[in-house]
Amino acid sequence: MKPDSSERQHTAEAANVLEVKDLSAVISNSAASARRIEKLCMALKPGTLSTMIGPSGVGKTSLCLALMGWLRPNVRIVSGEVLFGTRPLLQMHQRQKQALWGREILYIPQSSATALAAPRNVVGQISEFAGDTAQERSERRKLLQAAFQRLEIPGFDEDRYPHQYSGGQLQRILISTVFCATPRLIILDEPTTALHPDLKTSVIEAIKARVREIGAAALVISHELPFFAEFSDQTIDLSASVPPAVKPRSVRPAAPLVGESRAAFKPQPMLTEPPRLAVGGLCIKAPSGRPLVRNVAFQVRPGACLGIVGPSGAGKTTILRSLLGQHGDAKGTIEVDGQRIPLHHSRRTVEQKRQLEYVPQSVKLHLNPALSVDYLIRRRLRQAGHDHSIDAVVDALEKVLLPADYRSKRSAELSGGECQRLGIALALASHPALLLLDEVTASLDPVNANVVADILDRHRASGSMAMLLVSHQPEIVARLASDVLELRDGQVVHPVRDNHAPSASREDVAGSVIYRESEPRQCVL
Amino acid sequence: MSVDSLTSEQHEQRSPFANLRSIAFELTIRLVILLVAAALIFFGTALIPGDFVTELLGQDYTPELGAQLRHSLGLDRPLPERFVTWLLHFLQGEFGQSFTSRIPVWEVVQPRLGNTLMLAGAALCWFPLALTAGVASFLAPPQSRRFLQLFMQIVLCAPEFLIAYIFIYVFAVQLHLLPAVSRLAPDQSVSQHIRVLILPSACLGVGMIAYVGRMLLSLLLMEEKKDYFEFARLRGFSRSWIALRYAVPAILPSIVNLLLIYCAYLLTGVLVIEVVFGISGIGELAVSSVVWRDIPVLQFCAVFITAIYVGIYSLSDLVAGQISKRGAL
Amino acid sequence: MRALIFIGFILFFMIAPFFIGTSADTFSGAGPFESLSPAHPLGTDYLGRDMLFEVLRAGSVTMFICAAATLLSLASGLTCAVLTSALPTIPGTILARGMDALNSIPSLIIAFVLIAAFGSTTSSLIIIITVVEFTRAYRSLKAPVIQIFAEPFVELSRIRGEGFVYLVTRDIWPNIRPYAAVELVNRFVACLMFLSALSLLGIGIQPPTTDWGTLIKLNATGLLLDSAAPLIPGIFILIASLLALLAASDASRKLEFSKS
Repeated sequence: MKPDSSERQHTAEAANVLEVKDLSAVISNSAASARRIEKLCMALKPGTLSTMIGPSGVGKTSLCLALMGWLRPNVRIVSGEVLFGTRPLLQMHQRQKQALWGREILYIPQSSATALAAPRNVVGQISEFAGDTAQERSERRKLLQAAFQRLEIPGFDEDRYPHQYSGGQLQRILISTVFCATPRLIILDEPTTALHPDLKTSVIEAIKARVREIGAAALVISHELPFFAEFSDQTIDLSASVPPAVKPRSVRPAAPLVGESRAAFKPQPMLTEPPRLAVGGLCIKAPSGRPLVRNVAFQVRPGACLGIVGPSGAGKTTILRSLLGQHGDAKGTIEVDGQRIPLHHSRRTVEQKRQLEYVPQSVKLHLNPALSVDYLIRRRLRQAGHDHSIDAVVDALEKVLLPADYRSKRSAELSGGECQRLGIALALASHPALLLLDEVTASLDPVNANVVADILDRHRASGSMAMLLVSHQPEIVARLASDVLELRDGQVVHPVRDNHAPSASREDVAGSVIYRESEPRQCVL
Repeated sequence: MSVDSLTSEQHEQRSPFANLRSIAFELTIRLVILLVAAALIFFGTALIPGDFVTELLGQDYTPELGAQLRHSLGLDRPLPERFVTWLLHFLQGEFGQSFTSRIPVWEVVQPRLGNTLMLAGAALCWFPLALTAGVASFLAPPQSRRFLQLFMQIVLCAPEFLIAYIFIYVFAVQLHLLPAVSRLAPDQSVSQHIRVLILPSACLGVGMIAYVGRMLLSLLLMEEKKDYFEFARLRGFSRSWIALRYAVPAILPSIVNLLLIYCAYLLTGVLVIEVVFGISGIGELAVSSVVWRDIPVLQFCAVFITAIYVGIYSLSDLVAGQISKRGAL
Repeated sequence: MRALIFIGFILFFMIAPFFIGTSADTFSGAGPFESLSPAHPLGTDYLGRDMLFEVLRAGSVTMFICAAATLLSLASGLTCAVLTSALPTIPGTILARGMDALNSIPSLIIAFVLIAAFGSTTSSLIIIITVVEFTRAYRSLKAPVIQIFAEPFVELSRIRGEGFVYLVTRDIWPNIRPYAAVELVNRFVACLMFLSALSLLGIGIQPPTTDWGTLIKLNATGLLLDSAAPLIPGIFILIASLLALLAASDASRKLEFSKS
């Protein structure tokens, strides 16, 4: 560690490689939204590795490219200065900047299959730099060969093309550029996301060693802060420069909900009532013949809510789709109110179809963009044989806490959360016997998810309708479901206990679900 | 296809037979489609008022003689049966006899076919210029690019005969540079052929330059948005270098496809241009066969051109299939 | 706005003959192929008739046939595109393959065969151009129709047991409308080009009735006499298609907007 500290001392005295002074920029992600970055300041010293973090969607990549002098069409620099060494980078001519890129400033893009041109071989592309002489080229090739060995990338001599490498290999190939060039500034965009966890440390250490060796400054853009904090000499947090007009990412409500669910008393369905939905011996195969769901059976009583949980790929959505009649290759029985209904939707009568209502994960996609909210609700009310006056439509909107003037809107004018609520309003308007909910809150932020859960909770408690809830999120399952069916690999792990009153065992089930599901949830939100 | 992309294909192809089978399947479908198209043409010509016999006999027509000839030609049999006979004859190379000139169809067609092919070939010579136009408009500064785009757009809006008349007016009538009427005869020398073909082929070529140039420009602009282009820019390469070395090879299959689509267009474009310039080719023959209701000639021209058309489109679909396969990799 | 200019252009030519009279023999006493002058703003034709009047008269025929053929071909092309998606698999495939076969015959060849069979009266030309163009309309509308049929909201409508009429009138039509608008303009240009080409080849509109293509053909000899007369109708064709293009770019921008 000794040479390390001495070198750091040395670099502290050296001039900054890159200095950003009070940079303000506007980065627009789409036609509608633009993010502002205000008064960004930073200084990168030679031989150091800095990490840039920030809220997702703020345009970190676009910003870093702007620091190199490459302005994407969606970036506008408002004010401020970027100094590369002592030269103002933003005021340079295109030709001067082009001479810097590659030789002095090296950008390593995020791993993707399109980062390299498909019709040319990989080694040739990576070792190719503008204006190289033949001698330089052969030197770079040698350096690259060593880098390939060091980063354990196969096939240096095989004349391979980009599509012949995996995502993780491509990422290391892109990183290997660092080893065949001697730039003063290196910008690495998410250099570890596609890497296998075992490799991350060694790759980063290799980069760090290289940075020291050639006395360059490295700037890493990353999501994985805890991992990079260990390696980086400084951390640049963009959220400090993003004005608070941007909605802060609220922390998800944690554990207390479990306790809440225990406290909230769920009215248990009358046990004497016949089940609203009875599914028996349901087996579903994929077109390839692989079984998706094996021998699943469950019942849902009026006023009850069955939560279906399990890891992704366990067959949760498959069950919902088969209830809707969308799986041609299904076996078993589906009974609604004691009446058996055909498995495929083409053989069901209109009445049978309308007994089921479905609220998908993204209602927005499931709404016809050309029709108004008013028309959609009215049609469902009319089909169900109910009053379809304006008042009834307003009433239906109020049930899901949407204002009355939303009648004239179309789906494109509503936000994601409003669409989910509208989806529930539409489903309720047709007064179904059974409501199928597919990850209704998965794409919502916690505040909206709570509102949706509240609405559903109220209607479950008041109606004679049965609900089927497929969800990743333990909170909403714990909150709404009176029973839980856990699936794994298409089979039931914890069967529904509908013969005895809910006891501690049910809570255990919910608890185990929460434990298992809390991990994937982080990536969902 | 470049050598590079060929090798990359070879790496990927695990079972060449599966590929072959799908190609064979596609070809069968094309043949069936061609057969249906031939049937449509046959039944269409069967709708033509008047019949072979009255046309054939002309002045000598008497009801008895007509009935006799009709029987000997098999015209009294049901339509589907006649179609099968016609098709079998057609496949054997017996195309019948022209009503107007009373000589076998093939002999009418043969000398004209050469002229048409020469014109089409001459038109294809403009393809390199079209490629240059596309790449040049991509590399041009934004203002000149916009100007070029506008120009190409206007040319695309102009029908080929208007271009032809404008060219004749400017180059033949005003400037006296080239002949306004293109007579192609076997006794002419090669240089005479070239001189005669410049104007008509240029009329077709201008359209190609506009079409191919515009498509190429939009393809290249799409490539420019891709990550590899940005990455290469950020390694200090100029736009023109990346365009020529990375982007053009990447879109090569699309360029081949463009060429094929243009060939298909040429098939009908040639017909119009021939009439304008008075070149005696297939197009002129087909038009006069419509005017004179010369059914055997019309049938031959229609089926012949359709067959080439289907062939070109099959080839272009094959290329497009390869493109999408590469895209999926 | 641009669409309005385009429609205005078409309407102007449609109603123009009512103001200038339809008789074709208003002989003005001028010589053939006179160049532009105040008395004859566009010169005179091969018989010494005023070119402006001739162009207006021919324009009405052209616009009438093109508008009729465009509307017919778009309507039938759209119907076929919806039917191939909405029908059960087997009849749908048969229809689609039949359209493929029709599509694989070059348009001029279809026209040759049908003109030989039905002659070149105005009504038969409308039908013939429709037959040629509706397969093209079908081809370009098929993809968006398939795409809309694959939308989750259509799937949901089917699951909910909505009928065929609802599916077509509420789910498909409002969403296909922007595509149809673009296609309408494209079809118009194609019809215009096609009709003019047929007339120029001498198998379209027959004199004494004239359209722009016929006018070019009749005046073609003027070129060798150093007159620009045959170019004038051609320039009107060019203007019509440029206006159409502007209208289409407007429509397709709207389409882009509705997508985003």
